[in-house]
Amino acid sequence: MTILQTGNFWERVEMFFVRHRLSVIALLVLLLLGLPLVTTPSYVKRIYVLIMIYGTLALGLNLPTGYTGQVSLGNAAFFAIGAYTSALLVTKAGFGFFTALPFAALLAGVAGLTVGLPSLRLSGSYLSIVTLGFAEIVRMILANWQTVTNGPMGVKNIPRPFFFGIELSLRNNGAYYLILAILLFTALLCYVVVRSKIGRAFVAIKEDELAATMMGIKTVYYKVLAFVLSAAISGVAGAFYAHFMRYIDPNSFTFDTSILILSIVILGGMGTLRGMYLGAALLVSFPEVLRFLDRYRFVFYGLVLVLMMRFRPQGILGWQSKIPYRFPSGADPEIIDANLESVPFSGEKTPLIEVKNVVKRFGGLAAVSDVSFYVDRGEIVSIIGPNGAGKTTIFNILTGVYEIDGGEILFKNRSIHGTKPQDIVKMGVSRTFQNIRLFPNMRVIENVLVGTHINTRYGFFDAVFRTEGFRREERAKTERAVKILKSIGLGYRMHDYAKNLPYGEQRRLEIARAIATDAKLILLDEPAAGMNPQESNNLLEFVRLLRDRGYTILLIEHDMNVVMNISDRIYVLDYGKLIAQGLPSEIATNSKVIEAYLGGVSEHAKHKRT
Amino acid sequence: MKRRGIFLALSILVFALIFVTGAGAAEEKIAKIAVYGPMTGEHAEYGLGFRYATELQVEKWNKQGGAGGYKLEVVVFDDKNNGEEAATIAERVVEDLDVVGIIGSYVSGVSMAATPTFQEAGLVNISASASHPDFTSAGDYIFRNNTVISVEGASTVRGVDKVLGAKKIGLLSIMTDWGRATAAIMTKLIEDNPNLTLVIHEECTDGSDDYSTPIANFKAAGVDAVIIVGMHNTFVPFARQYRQQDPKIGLAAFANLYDDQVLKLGGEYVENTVFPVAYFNESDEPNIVEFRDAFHARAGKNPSSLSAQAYDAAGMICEAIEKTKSNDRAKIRDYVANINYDGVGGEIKFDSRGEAQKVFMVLQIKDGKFVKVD
Amino acid sequence: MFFQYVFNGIAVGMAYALVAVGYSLVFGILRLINFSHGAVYAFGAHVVLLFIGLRYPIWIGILVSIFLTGILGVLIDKFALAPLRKKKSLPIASLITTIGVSYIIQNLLMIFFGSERKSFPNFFDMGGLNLANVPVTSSQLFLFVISLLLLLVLTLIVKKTRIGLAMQAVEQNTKAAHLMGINVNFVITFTFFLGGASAAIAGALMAGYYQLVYPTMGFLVGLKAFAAAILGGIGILYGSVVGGLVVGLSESLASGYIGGTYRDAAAFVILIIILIIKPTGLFGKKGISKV
Repeated sequence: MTILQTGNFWERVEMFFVRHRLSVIALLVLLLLGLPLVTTPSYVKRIYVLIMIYGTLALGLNLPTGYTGQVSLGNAAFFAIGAYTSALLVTKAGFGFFTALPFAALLAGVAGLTVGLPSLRLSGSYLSIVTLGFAEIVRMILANWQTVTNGPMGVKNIPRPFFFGIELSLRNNGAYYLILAILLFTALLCYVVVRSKIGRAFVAIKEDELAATMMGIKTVYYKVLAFVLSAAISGVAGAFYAHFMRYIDPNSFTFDTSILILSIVILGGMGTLRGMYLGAALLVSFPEVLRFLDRYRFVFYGLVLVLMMRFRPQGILGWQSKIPYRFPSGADPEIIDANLESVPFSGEKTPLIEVKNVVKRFGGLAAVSDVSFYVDRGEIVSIIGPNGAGKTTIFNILTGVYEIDGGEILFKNRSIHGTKPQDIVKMGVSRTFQNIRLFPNMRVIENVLVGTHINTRYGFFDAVFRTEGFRREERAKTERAVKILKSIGLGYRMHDYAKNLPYGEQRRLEIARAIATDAKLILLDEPAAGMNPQESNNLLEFVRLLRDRGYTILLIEHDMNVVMNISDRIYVLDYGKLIAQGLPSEIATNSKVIEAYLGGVSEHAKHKRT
Repeated sequence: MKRRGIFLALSILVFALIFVTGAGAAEEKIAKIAVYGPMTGEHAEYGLGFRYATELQVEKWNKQGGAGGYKLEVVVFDDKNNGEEAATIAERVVEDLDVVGIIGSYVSGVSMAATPTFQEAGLVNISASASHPDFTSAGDYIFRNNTVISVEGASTVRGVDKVLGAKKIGLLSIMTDWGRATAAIMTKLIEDNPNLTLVIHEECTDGSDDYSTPIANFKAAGVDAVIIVGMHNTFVPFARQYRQQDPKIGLAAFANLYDDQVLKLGGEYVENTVFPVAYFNESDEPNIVEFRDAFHARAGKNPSSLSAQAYDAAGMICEAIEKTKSNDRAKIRDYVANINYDGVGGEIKFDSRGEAQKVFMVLQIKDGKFVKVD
Repeated sequence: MFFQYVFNGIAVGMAYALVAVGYSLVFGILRLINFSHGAVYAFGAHVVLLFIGLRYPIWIGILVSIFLTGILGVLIDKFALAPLRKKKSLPIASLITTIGVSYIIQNLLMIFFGSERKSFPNFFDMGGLNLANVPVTSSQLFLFVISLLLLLVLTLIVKKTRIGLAMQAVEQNTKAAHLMGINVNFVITFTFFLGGASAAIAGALMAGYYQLVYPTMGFLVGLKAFAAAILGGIGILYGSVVGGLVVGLSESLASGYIGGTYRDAAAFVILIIILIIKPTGLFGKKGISKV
């Protein structure tokens, strides 16, 4: 847009790169192809190769660590498994390098699956220590399983790869071009995965796992997928490594290796692809370049890590892109109108959701006891009540965050209790949160696209091969996201990062994201909280519009103005029990309600907004 | 935003440095001997020992006006005990055509990442410490001036039998290439000796701190003596922990134990230990006295047997330059292959595989000193 | 034989527990894995060595080391970690920082003390003894008793003193503690001091037990102690003690019954099994996520 005139130098550089990305990439690839031809010292070529090996490893680790936020301290294990698989298949079973390569990837991937499946329900530090432990165990197995791995003797005289009879060595640049091909292939794979609903799911999980779950994302599947991909990529790098080094032993793959890979990811910039290349180039060439520091080399290395984290924790190339979001080809946001489509609705007043005698206890305390209510199709129903009355608990019950201790919930006449949150979203129930839970470091449009995730119909292979189905779906979902944003008045904010939006707009964005799931029933948890009268009036208008378009709305709200104005019916909750229900006019005069709200508390509480 | 610029500039600078450091000015009639090994990190003592030994040898030659008309130089590389770095160093070294030979590295696993490069480029590599049984199989440019396990092991067994008079033997070996290979050879050697019985074999991690479990097992098996297949980082803690429970247990080990470090660390707990050496400091042979004193002056301690082997390795390359009057790598290799070198470690010649053949004596630790007993 | 293995395991396990407590203290307050703890432990042992070298009696060396190592812990926090907290950086930034710090400490130790193993006096050896027919060295007994005493002292500090109460409050809810007038920064400083001091004691004890000191001595012990802390439920002191004992026992038994070469991996095998069964560790509490 106008960045070329207004942005600073680096933004303009980035813009230039993105605009001319095909030419830039072609030029870079050409440069890389020519590089070994103009480099004479072969040890420098060797460093190029090592840089590309670690670049590949970093791209692999970046998927779980940079994108989904799972810090692995043990990727050396998958590297080792790939290296040993290929080395042993070639030296002991007579395979060629290229036939052994898929097995290296496969075995490393399977190892990733075996660690990933049980341990991904662990979080943060716990996952890290399990990966660390796994790497130590793998090293121990390699050292002890003498008959297969040669134990501490290692595997020696590993032949170089042969490509149509040509031995690929450092001297004839064959090794260089092979690893370049592997690196480019990996980069392409990461690129297509990241720029699809898979990549959006990855980042959403990192940003807010619970919110991602509430958008219907199968978090375990995506976390395991990132982990397995990472392992397989590391395995491929390992296979090449074995045939390049020509000798491997268990000590080639230590904790230090894992830390080096992680440092590359972090130094380069987590969650970026560009950062991996620079990070690898710096950290791999670092020991050679800093030879003059002699014994202080590693003191310096430590210092670099510390200072880096202090002054630039997002990594060298880890800035948040300020250039506009790139829409899929064929999707033109300008021509999309703000006219939200209607959901099919016969106009018949039948219950969409029914809650019967639901009980939820925390310890001995009943947060919700024996509550029953229903919401008809096309209705706006509010639940009100003082703080701690159990309103949000009801939302958590409806969306599957909590399991109930008694009673029944029917959605479209089907029981949904015990159903996983992801499946409830899929059935058509979506929500917003009392404390806004957006994906702050994703763009506004991406937040809404995450909402469309469950109904975006393509799989891993469609994304990788960019099939027609993939392109059609991406286009359609992007157009829908734009439409929703425009209809809620956020069209002009599409390119911004969610965290940069003012409070009121963040609330609206949450609603937009909920609509994007194609929900029939939308649960709004205090949508007007923190809004000024103008904003909350606009919001009311929008909620009415939603109803007119056939959506059904269940609302928690403190702002009596909002509630009285908009609700078709109101339920009043106090201490986890339903104390009143009816039309707004009835509730306004109900003595129990007035007592619950005013009982002993000053007049001021009536207008309190929380 | 400004910072981003600085970072990018720094990155470019670092890249430029890679290229710049690659170029070096060459002078007339210089022959370089390279030495590589861990100069930093956990095993720095070994790499530094190699470095000092090589430097001393070269200084000795230079004092006499160089070798074969060449002024000698030492180039030192730190591989941090890391195979990737060793392989990169190898590429760097073979391209410097002034380099005629290279000493190192310390651990076989690291060295073997580099030997294919030396072999392909045709540069003599003599290791003073590699212990992997197949180390020299990388090719005819790869030599080892370390002990041959079977010959060395036979001397250890002789010491256990004759000096310690032990009958029931326990074997403790570290889980490394050398440990595994040596343990297998020792098992056979002990079985072949009619006076000895091998009652138990335990394996442990190299340089681990805690030996309570193997000690318990050895004691339960009632052994008279334990042969420790390990470096002093395994031997000393094991000896201390064992002797605290049983001061009379017999201990035997290998030539790498010949290091003052062992006496300093082990104290009373390593008394009476027997082990074989080919090199012995307490000698009045002038070349040994000269080396020992010079090494002590530089490193602040007596040379270990590994440092002595590095000293001889460097000496062989110097002699080759002197005798062939050439820095031609192939000629150097041919000379070394057929050398009959009179070094501090005795007469050294290589067999067809490039393994140094040596004669061993048996040492025992008595009153905190190494004493020749056989 | 079994009891022999068990005794061996328990003695070392208590020392692991002592190191694990250091991880646990810091994690409890800051939710941070302090990877530099192993290097701090090595630093503590080296300070004692330095004072022995200067011919001071060993107890002076230990006291000075406790103080200096505690200060080192505080300095690490002030210079490397506190700025990150202020900026509300991601947890991984702190993790990498502590790894960087451990590189710095470890390599500086190598430069100033040399990388080789150095002898350390066995200041608590009084010969071997027999306990119910199982030979136990007095060193083992001593290691066990001293570690136990120190763990008790630490527990008392955390449970019974004013500053300990403040630590617990910060651990439960930093914001609320701050609002209640607790000087959160001081509590954090104190915690790092305590972590460093306990590392120094553990370092000196282990150095005395094995009579060895070297710059990388904290690496494996650190990893295992860390495993112990997580295994017991990180942030819970008695959990660290149990975790340390489990690690010590499992590696002693593994090396006894499976083979010495399996020793170092035993801790991690047990850790993974326990975490899969109980994701928060043996005594870890499950946090209710607030929506």
